[in-house]
Amino acid sequence: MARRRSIEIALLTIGAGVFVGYPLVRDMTSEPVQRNRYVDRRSCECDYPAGCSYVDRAWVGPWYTRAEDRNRATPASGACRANYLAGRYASGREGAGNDSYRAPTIEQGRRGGFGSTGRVRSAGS
Amino acid sequence: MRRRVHPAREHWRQRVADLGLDFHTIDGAAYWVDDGCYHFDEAQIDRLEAAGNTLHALCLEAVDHVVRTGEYAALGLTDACAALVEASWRAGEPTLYGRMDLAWTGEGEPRLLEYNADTPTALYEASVLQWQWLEDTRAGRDQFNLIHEKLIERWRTIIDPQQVVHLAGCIHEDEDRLTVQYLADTCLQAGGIARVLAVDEIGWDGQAFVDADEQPIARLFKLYPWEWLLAEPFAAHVPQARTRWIEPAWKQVLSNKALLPLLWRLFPGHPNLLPASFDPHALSGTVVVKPCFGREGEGVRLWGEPPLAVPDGYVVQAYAPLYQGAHGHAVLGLWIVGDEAVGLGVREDDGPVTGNRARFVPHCFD
Repeated sequence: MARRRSIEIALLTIGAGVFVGYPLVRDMTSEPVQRNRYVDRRSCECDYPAGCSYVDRAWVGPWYTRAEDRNRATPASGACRANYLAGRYASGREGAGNDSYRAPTIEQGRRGGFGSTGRVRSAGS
Repeated sequence: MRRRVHPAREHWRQRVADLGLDFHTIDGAAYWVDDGCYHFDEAQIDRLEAAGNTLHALCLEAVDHVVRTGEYAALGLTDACAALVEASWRAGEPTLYGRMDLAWTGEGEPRLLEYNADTPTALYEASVLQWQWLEDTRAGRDQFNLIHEKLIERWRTIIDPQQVVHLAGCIHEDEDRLTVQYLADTCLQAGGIARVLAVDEIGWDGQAFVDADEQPIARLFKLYPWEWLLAEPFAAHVPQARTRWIEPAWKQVLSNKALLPLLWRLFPGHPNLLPASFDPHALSGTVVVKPCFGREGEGVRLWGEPPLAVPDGYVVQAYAPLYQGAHGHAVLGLWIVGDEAVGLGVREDDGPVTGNRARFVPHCFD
């Protein structure tokens, strides 16, 4: 039986200069994730102009880790939320601009239930 | 079978790094060996291939036996694990791949040391890197290596076109990440939609396992051992989840070294098996004591004669010498894709127990 390949091995996603056909790996292994839940879309989009989705009867932003949130210039939990926490405008007040912002609640990720063994060891054999 | 010295390729480190292997050198020691190879003749490759196909068939018979007889306790599997094994076996959940580690010196019959049936790594090295090495060096006429095309073919049989497949692992580990990413690549080439994520990114939304974007996980390849998975908090959701797993839960019977005494009991004297038992008194001469769930040589120890006793969770297997040369001891990793032996990877270590510092050495045959 011939075992030599008749074809060149083509790889789509590995190695130098290759086409990446699916989202790159995100390493979120070291910290649990969380996300913001909003009562209205406007407040969500104030923090995430392009990252809101409607899930389980609330508007939610993307998942982020606390480490990602430590960047003061672009906090992962949202710039409007940061302004609100700094007392720059009130929450829940009707009116123009950011004064209508209603602060989110923070939802802890229902994640991390797998992986605790793998944090200290490689899983391969 | 012999170990040959061969001139390393010029700029080989860059060559393998360009192909995605950044960990070719670990702590100053080579992991990828570019200046040597294992050389076989075609009859020897035929023998390895036949042994792999035979052993895999025996292993499937062993799983069937366990499911029919309910002998889970001897494998150290709890009732909850057993239920998953049984359901996945009866449902015919398909396997993707595995790697058998064989002891062989090139003469007689190859002998099964263990079956890494759940989370084998060194896949990319065997499938892609050593093939590229042969293409570059022309060190031999051929190589036992159909791993890449067989993986793509296998994906096509176990997933639907454009089906989303999540692939999870400890992606902070170089070796695991490369394996997961390579399998994602082959899935993509087979027409699937591959999504890679860290195993602790998997969430539970109350009804289903979900990815970081809250999308349900219908098919999940996990480079994460079943025995770890089922010991962790989310294991409570596994029985009710509709996720189909790759590798399936029945692979717990094969990735467990308690398989070795079971095989020897079911097929005593088989030429590709070594005597093995939970009871050290059942064996004589040099033996190897192995933990049922150890990885990469962890906890494996040679004894000049059987010890008086071994702890629970350990098996005793007769010793079979590995090929030994000036460069060390070589274990033969026979790759199984689906139900077929499709390729070979050789790892070499300084001692007779192949550990996590073993080197990958390419092979060829004439």
